[in-house]
Amino acid sequence: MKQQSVCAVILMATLSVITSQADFAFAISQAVSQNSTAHVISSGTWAAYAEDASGNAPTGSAYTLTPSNTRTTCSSITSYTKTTTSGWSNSNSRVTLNNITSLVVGMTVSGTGIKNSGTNTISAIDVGNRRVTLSAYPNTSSTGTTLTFSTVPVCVSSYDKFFSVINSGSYDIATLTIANSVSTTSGNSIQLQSCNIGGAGTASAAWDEPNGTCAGTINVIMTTIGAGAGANSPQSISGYSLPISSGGSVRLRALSTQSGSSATVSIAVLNSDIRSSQDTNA
Amino acid sequence: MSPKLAAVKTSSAFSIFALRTFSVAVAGTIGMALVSTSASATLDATSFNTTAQSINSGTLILDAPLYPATGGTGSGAGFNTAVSGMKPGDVIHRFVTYKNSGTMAGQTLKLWIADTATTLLTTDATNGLKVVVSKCATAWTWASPTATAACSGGATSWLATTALSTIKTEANAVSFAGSPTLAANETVYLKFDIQLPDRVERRANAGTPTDAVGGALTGGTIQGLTANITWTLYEAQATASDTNA
Repeated sequence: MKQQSVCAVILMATLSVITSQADFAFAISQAVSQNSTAHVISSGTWAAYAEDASGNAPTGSAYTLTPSNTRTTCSSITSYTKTTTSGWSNSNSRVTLNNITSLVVGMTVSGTGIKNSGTNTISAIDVGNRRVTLSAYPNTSSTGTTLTFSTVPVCVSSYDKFFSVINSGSYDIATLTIANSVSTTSGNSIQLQSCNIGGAGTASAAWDEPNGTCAGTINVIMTTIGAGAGANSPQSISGYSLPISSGGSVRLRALSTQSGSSATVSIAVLNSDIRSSQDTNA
Repeated sequence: MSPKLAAVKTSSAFSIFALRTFSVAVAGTIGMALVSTSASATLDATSFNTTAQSINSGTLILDAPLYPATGGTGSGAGFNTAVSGMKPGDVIHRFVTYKNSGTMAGQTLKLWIADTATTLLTTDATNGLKVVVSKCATAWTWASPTATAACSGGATSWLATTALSTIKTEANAVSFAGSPTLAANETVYLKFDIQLPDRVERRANAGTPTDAVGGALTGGTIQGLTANITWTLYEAQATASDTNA
């Protein structure tokens, strides 16, 4: 016993210096070795959500928006020059042309001697005979007459709203799952768009939100066509390439063909949407 | 009796009386002296070695974990290197040197952990952290943080994949495979492969994480958790010997 006690004293003194410990309650000597500073191991997080602005906190629910910025786009006038050939028919209001390429119903027609020049329009096209029917008779039987057919400028209104997709996780996000449920009348649609320097997945370019333009390329994420108020099935796309750094955000645009429509956007992140697994030494 | 003889006898009688008196006195003195230390009334004799026999007890010492534990290109700070942002499927390797600096050999090597935090990382045997331990006789080396670490001479598996949740506290310590021992003054180089098992977690609109199809996660999410782990390596003294010399 005395010998063991002496041994214990020696061991204790030694072990206390080197932070190891010994337990002498047993008949044998034991020693342990421990890291004196805890080994800290933390797991990361992956999460993203849609909101009006990047400063808004997540609600845990999908984000509903109403595209309310009106954007009006008018088509420009495009003209095509054609030459008459034989086959005039004032009674049938028809002219035969050297070709009818690019002509569509509704184009105006103008030319020397033609009745209602500039307001006379194509009402039908006979492709096989290269013959067009006009809304008023041509009033001439000359061949070799030059006629100009022009498109009618059309202005179309659309409605948009910009919103943010915010990465609130600790990892950079490479891809996302995006679902969009829309409320529009049947046939109208709401499109989700990103603005990138190139194709989808490239770095974000800047939207000019007041004017509704993109400094780079507009990439259409998805187009959801409504089937009546709330009747459409949510459209979803997974693994869509939309890189967002941790704590960062990107701006997207919802563009609707109908005033007063709404979209409900849901953003989901899986661990497969962030970096691949790593195997590292340190 | 002749006078001479009588005288002698008288003298002898006196002498005997005197001797007896002296003997009693001496005996009494000696007896008193001996009473304080022994009940024996006999005389003792001793024999001893003039040069003291030296008997030293051995020491059993496991040094604290040493870092860096590698040579070559790689260098690491072992358990002092924290792991942040671990993702399911990740594996991190930590290299730790242990030395039995005592004079006795060690055996019955085993491992357990403690965690000051209580999270799935160290409570869930399926989704929590797992460890694999490999031993090398020389320092591990690696060419880059993502390169496979090398062991000159070949590594020995000391512990197959084990959930940390199953080795919490000394009572749940796990013994190393093959019953390895540590000779006096022996150094071993261990590689700890710490894994977070892969599992799919989906998080919609930064809400509560779910499984891939939106169902509840068993035990909760593995995201955003922290463990503060103390790794304990244990050894007991080698079997006592019984020898002649």
